[in-house]
Amino acid sequence: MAMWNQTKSRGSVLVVTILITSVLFGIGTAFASILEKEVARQVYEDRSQKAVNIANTALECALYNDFRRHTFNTLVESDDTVICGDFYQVREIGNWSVSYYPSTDNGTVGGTGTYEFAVIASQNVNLSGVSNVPCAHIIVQRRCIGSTTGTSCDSGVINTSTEVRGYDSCSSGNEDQRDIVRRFKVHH
Amino acid sequence: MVLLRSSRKGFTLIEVLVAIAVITTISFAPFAIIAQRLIDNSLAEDRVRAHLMAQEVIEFVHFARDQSIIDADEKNWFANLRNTNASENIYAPCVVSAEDFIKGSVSTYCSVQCRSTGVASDCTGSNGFVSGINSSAGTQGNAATTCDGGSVKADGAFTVTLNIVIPEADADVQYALIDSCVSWQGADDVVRSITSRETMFEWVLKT
Repeated sequence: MAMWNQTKSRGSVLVVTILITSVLFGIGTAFASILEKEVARQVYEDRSQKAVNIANTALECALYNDFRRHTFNTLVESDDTVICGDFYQVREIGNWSVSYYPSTDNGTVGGTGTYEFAVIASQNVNLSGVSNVPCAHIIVQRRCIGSTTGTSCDSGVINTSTEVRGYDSCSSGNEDQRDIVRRFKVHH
Repeated sequence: MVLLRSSRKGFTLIEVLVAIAVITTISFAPFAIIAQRLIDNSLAEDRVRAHLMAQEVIEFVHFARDQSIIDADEKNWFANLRNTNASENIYAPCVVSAEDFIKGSVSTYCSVQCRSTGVASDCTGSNGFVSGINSSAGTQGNAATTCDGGSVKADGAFTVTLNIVIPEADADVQYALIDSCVSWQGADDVVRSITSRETMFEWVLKT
């Protein structure tokens, strides 16, 4: 009887040891998992920053072409093309899309011109050294509220909205591949 | 009975040794993982902080330009950057030090370089740049690449370097390349840096 008790006692030590180590292992794994998420968040921050930077740049470029070069000045396609400097490739997405409101459309007359283009960073701008470069998709919408004469907004008020979506990762020359998007929209 | 005591002693020793070995082996792995993850986490925190600082500096440049538009009659901020008279150039980011904008243990360096095609006088002016602005001409097509301002503090403090490359006055497109670089020495004693790059265009109408 005494021998049986001692044997049982020895087995308990091992069981308790395994239990303790299992708990330690579980706590360690859980803690490591939490920290792993923090590191993943840092990678997300890296990519998010790139998306914000290209979105800001594209917005500046769109405003530059709008205010200084009058590229989007009329309701028809301008002969001017968008330029964003040596470090960025500009790709037009489709043609000008222009629609005119009928005079009976809720009392509104005028028209809307939409212009879409992509700004793609050159490798020179891509600081991370990876093959994909950041890019942005820009939609400029110019709306004439009032009367139009032909293609000009003579006595109307022109509202312009510029929407920019910056992507952290794009194939060279193609803005379709994207993961993280940062979007800005301005009205004037 | 004698045999029983002898057996119990031997088993206890083995049990203790096994227990120590098992605990050591099993607990080493998670603790090693935790230790590595703690370092990784510290580095990740530093990196996120560096990104925020870099963005803060870029925002500061935007602020300097926008404030000059709001306050000053001179709408041509790029020309203002080339201005050699410090008293008239109060909105140049290298004059109004970014260090005043970013509080804390941060060292800042700032330079404005001219993306000159040989007409360096467009950028340097007759008297050279104002104090704090590097008058050396940048290489055509490239931004200034010095990131750490020449030194990185070893005490974990961040070093912020702002480089602005402006075009020559008669360039077709007036835009400035802004590099905001933050460098620091991490918990693992490795010097790291991140750079955010944006381009600002001179889109504001001149009056």
